[in-house]
Amino acid sequence: MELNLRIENKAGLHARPAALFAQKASSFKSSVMILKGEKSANAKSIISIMGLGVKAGESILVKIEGPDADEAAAVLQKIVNDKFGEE
Amino acid sequence: MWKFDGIPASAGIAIGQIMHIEEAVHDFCRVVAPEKIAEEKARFLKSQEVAETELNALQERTAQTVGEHQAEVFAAHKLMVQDPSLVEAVFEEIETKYASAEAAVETATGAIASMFASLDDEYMRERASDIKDIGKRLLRILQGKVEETQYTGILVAKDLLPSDTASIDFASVAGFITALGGKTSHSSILARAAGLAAVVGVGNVIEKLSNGDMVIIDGHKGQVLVNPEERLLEEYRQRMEKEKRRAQTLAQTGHLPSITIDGHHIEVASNIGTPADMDKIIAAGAEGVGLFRTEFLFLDKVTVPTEEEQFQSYRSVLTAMPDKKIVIRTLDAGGDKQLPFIGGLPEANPALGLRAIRLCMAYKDVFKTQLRALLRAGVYGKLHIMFPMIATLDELLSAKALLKEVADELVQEGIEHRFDVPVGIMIEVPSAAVIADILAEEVDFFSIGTNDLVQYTMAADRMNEHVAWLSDYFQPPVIRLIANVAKAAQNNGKWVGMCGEMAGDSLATPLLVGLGLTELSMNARSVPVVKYLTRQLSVTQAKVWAEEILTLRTTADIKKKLEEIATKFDI
Repeated sequence: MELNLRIENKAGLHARPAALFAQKASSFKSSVMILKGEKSANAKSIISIMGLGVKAGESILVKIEGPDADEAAAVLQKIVNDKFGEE
Repeated sequence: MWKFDGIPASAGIAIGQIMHIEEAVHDFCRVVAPEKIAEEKARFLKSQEVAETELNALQERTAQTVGEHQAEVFAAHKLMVQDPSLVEAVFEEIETKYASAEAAVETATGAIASMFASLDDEYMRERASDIKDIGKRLLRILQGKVEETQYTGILVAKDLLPSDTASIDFASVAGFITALGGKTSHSSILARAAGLAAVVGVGNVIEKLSNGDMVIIDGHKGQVLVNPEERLLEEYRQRMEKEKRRAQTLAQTGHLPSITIDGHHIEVASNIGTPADMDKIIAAGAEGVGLFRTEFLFLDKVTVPTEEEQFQSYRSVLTAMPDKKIVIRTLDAGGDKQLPFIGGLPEANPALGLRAIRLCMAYKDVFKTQLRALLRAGVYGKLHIMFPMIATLDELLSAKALLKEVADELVQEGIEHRFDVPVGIMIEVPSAAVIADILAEEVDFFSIGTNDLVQYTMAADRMNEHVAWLSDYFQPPVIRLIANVAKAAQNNGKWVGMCGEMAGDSLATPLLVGLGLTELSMNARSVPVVKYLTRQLSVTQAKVWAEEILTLRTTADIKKKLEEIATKFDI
């Protein structure tokens, strides 16, 4: 299961958005990976996500594998669409 | 006595004795026997638990003593302590290199910190200090030490990490000095919030300071005086007293009207970026809004904000100060503030390109929606509409014609609105300052935006440090343009104000009042000082000074004269 997401919130994947993403990703059994350019990150790790240095307007590819992949994809898509509740 | 300099991170003066914040000890056993792997892993997991407990307590205490916002950093620390990448890295060190838990934590957090430090984003680079902070905490716990909380006097540290600053009881600390850090580092921000004097980025010199040394921190200059003579101590004690009294006076007088000693009212207003700023400026004693930047409604949006959405925002600002003048600037986008829903071609010279009123006239639908929302909100207070970046009379006339068109449409549709909203322009392009006499006939007011006016007049990018000496609003050509604008407005019976950075500089206040400006709009922080000064001024005297300043030939001469004038006042 792959998702192509564009990060639209002002700060990019900074501490708070990264924390929210990691928390949501951790609530699923499936493994969640984020790919950006040549870098990849474990989406259940805030440190790993922040290490990608994703800025506003950049796109990421999210790979989800496991029993609850569909559900995880829907949840992760939603928090990105909602701009991590920043507005 | 000896002294050294650093970065002035937080203004104020502090006098006290040095107290070093001790770093975690780094001489621990680094390698363990292979059969101890499980034990070291368990020790790490235990330290993780203790760290979580400490962080919970710290978060709670900081929320109560400093603020919810400052406490959030510890919630992030908690997540990082529990982070699977950290655990993985620590376990790998223990399993493959037989590292002790201490050594594994040091290596793993060090590697993560370097990774953050290499990112091309200043905010993310700063996060390296969060990771180092976590590393220090875990190391201290592994070494069986508890957190020190009894800090007093002047604190000295290599870098004050968030945990350090949060475990400090600010009431018993006078100020601090750090070897690392800059104006925007965490500790500097906290020092300013807590009102402590601080000098940062002083380098290795901290090693020469011993516990118990008497020092004076001059947070204005960024200077530290070590073991000063009694005479100096006394001088600084008096300055400290004076600053304390001044802060008290400003707090007590912030709400008095700013009327000069010869009876002229100079409106001291504030600039705002969102309706949420209103509480802050009202508390500071602002007598209106001289500039409401409406960009916040647009910049983060993928689509154009609706008329209703805009109307609600404008109305909430107007109703927060219904009897005060509220100047709302129409969309000032383009240039370095690109709109996602407009896109647009990259420009070689965005500051001189399709921006502000030029962009609005090119996207009339977007502009008309904003004007409709403004006229509808106008019935709720003393709205003034201001167009940015006007450079020619034609631009002003076509913007006014569009406003008229919008008003006519609202009449036809029978929608409630105010049709006689005063209309002004921002003077920030030199061409407009030069033809101010022509423009003055067609506006109700002028507001001078010094930041862009300086940049365009001096042909010097204000963000370019290599030409910083040109970016000065005390340059004679800038002062002459301001004088020309003020004269044109007065000749036509219109008022003229200022909403750039210069308006909040109390050094400039006598000059601006002398040139005939009757409204100054600034950051909330500057309001009490400028009001306090205005109440001591006489417009008649200020005019004499302004005349003299207009004859001066260099920036240095102008500043010297203004500094001399400043000594005549209690500020």
